[in-house]
Amino acid sequence: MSTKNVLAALGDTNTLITLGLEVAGEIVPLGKALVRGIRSIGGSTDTTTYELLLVADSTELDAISTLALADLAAINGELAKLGKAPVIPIDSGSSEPPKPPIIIAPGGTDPRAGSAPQVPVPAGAPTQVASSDAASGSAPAPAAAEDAAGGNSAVVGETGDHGAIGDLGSNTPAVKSS
Amino acid sequence: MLNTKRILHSGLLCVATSLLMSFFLFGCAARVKTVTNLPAGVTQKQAQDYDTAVANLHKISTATSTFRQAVIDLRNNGLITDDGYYVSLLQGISRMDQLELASVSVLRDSPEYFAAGKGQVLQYSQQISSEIAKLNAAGVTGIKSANAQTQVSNLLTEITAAVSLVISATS
Repeated sequence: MSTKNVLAALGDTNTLITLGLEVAGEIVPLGKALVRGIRSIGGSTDTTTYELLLVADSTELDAISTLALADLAAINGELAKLGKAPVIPIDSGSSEPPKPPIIIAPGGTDPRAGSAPQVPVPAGAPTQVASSDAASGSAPAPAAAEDAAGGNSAVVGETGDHGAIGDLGSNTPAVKSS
Repeated sequence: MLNTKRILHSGLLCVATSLLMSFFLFGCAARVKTVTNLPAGVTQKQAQDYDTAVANLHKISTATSTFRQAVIDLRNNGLITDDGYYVSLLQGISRMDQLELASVSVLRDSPEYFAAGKGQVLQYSQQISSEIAKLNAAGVTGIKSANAQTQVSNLLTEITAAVSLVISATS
């Protein structure tokens, strides 16, 4: 059964599921989402609701953070091998406390509106030692990066902490939650 | 050596041309054509621009990560032997990653608040573009394989195109 068929079948149930990425054999939960929304994203429909757009984009931002942080970890590992100072990863907010699913009624407002503005750290920020043995070398980071890019994603049970829809890859298995 | 220089020159020319073309030709192609249930105060265009910025930032991030993996693979395969050149590549990529993370911070605000952060994302995107230009300026001289040079040039072109789309959506 293709991913599209799985999503279509699950979409008919209109239930909540949690998305996750498999990183080094571990399932990392990404968030919950309406399967209907996933199907619409997976099927590249032209129309979506505002709340689903926000949820989808939120997951995409999480994926971007994962990729960038994996890159920085791998780069720090390489720099450490050469005896160079590592670069500091910038916290993009991915370690924030869990957020509730975003539900916005028409004419309503985004619950994230009240969040404090985040101040990005300039690119030339001072560096600190941030590498570790686990981060050194390119092996772990590419795996995380490839997974986050959608090549090895999975849909798992309701354990996520971010309301989100994944940027589903073509080989995404799906498991319906209870 | 002469051959390598020619490949380098053509590769950089290709990237530069792509950069210019993407700035002028790429429109703000929205991923989602219609967004329903828009709350009060959010326009269709705001939602589309926001989605476009997120989508293309994701492309930039994926391409940057692929680029980083390619550079490390080249190093591990003995195709980049100059330490200084290797470090400069890594540092350039890390700056792009940092700018991506900074952009994510701004984009965590939803579309109706995105208007205020657009300028910041635009600035970060322009800085990423600047980092690509620096990587181009450094060239692929330190890469010994012609195929690898082409691969690296193509990746830079891909990142440049995605950056241009973000710039288009935020300017």
